[in-house]
Amino acid sequence: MENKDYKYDAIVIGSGISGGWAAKELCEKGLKTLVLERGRDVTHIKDYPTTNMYPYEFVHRMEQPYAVKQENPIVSRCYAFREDTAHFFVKDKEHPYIQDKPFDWIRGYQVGGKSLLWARQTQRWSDYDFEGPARDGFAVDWPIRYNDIKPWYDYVEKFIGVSGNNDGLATLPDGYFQKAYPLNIVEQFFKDRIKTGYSDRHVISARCAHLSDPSSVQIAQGRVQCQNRKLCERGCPFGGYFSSNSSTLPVAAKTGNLTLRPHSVVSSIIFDEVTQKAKGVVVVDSETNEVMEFEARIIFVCASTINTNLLLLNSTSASHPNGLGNSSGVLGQYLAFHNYNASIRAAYTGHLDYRTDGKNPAGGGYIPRFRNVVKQETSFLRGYATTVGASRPETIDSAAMGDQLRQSLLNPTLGDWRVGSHMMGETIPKISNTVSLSTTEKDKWGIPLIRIAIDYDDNDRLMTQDYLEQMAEMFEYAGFKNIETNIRNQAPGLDIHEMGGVRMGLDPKSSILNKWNQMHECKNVFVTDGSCMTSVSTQNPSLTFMALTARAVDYAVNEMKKMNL
Amino acid sequence: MNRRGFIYRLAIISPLLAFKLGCTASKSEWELISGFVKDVRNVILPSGDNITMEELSLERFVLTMLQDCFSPDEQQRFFEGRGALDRYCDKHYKRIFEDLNSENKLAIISRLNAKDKEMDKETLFLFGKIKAKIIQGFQQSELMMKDRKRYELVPGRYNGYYKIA
Repeated sequence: MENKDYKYDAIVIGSGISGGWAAKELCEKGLKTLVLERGRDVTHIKDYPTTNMYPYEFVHRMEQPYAVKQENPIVSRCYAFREDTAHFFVKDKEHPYIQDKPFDWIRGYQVGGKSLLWARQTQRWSDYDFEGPARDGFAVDWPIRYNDIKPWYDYVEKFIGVSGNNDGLATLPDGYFQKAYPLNIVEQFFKDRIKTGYSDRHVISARCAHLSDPSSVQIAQGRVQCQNRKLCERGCPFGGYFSSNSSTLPVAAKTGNLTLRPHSVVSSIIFDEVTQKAKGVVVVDSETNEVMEFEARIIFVCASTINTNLLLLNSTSASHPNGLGNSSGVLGQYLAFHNYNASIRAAYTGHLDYRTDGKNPAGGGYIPRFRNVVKQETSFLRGYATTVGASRPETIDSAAMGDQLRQSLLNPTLGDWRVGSHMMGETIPKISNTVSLSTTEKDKWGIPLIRIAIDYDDNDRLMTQDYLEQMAEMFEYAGFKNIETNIRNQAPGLDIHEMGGVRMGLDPKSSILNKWNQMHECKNVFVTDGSCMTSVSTQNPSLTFMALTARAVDYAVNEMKKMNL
Repeated sequence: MNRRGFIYRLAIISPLLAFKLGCTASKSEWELISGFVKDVRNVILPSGDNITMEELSLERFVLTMLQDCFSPDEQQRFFEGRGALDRYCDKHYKRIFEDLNSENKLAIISRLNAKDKEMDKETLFLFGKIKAKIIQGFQQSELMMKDRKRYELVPGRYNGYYKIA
């Protein structure tokens, strides 16, 4: 193909949290970069149609009508899929997939991807996480350790803006933080109680990608302090939380090196048998169905975990008959997710002379993993982190009627404090947790549908039980009342933390990517979204995806300068 | 008109009620429920404290929610509950609900509000949903959220130690 419009220095597939970072880094380093996004364009602020709407402006007060839920049973199970946010979620029938086992695949196909929708929790990994597979004998050893990624955590945090405290915990390394959103009085009370009773458990302010005190770096991006709206999934006109739309993509565009192409479904990566490198990508325009090819020296695959697996499996050639870079056969295997399957709640009758005022975008407190940290000590592998939050809801006399009810609604009283927590457990990447291509069914662009077979196991069930027992004990120790435990029985996927399938590793015989997120067998292809993860630990993963992406771009560009790519 | 619901309403009723229902047969189940919503709102959440409830269009919101946000099975329970209400009124007042005077409507709605076990369980189900949506509609009305500042679109602050005066 001779048309220069189809040739770039770099191609980035996907514009979500990883793709946005790849675009920014590549553009800032001077590479003409094409970002291919399968969904529509979403421009910061301009395309947030509901962002300034009051609840009463929605016909159903933000609740999804029954017909919508019936039409979309999968995405309707996501907490954030509401009348005010639905336009940023993939509807079930638009993009079907095959569930060999129940899996709620929650997707956001638009420029910015799920970076518009994420929960914004940002915790670093420690070596307790990176060393986990090797120590406990599952998956394969991570090819990196904390010191390899630490400078890139620093780099990313400084750019996106993260609020939090430096807590001095080995399990959750400190970083470059703006002032934390403080715990409220009951969360702090819980923290203090736990400190007196448990030497290994620490309640900290949740660390999140909200601007509590924006630096000149974020102000230069056009972002200002978070206004505590907690309407984030509508898109934030203040840029109060980090998204590709508000941050990395505009910065990339400012360089003049970015070409952003929405409605571009990448069906495969083209492998050049002569150079033994990727030559470019095949794209189907989702609006015109035109098929076209784009070429580049390097390709960053950031299409989101399952779609990246799909794309690589569908990128076959004489040298790679089972999918690009898949001589090992492990592509599409060893996926994992986060076990969010249990929660607990209680009441607290102390501190009734206090309430909260305004909203905490961080959500409250966070307890890093405390099980099996230094050594194996339970009947299950690994462990869980937990959220913890307290609030004091208003109550009304709902049994009243007439003038009494009206006056109750006009003058609600404050009830007891409500305290809640949910688990975020590490699941073990297993060979039986797979994604594969359908041999019979294709989507409307002729791309095979993905089959998903991912499930819980006994380790997850033991861990869930332990979480409920430990949290109930901690709540009781704190003096909380009416403790209620709940097993959610939610399918994998609803955590929206699916990872793996294109894992990093030291050995090309058992992994797809090397320590630089570079394909062992196709050196100019880098994979830096969730599919690269060798294991999943307990932390919310997006910060690590961003740091790995920035690190991989730095490596790739240096290799290009050395003419190795 | 929901035929199944209409037949249900005709079942096991007095000749007087059958005549009355015949006269109202042109009303759909939803029209009957709409009238009931209006009566319930009048009794449950009347105007006062300088608030004219009619201006908040709560009845329209409640009906929208009943029609859009509940399953067909739940809606069938609404219809059956509404039919049972007329049978109850026929038995005790020899009139269908919408023909009752204000005093008798108040008495019945009060019994529903008290979850009186004499009332049909589907009528109680319908009433419970209507009342919940009336409360939601009021709490999430423009008057309450914006004019009376019970909701802040842009709080701009968080204080976890707010001392109650």
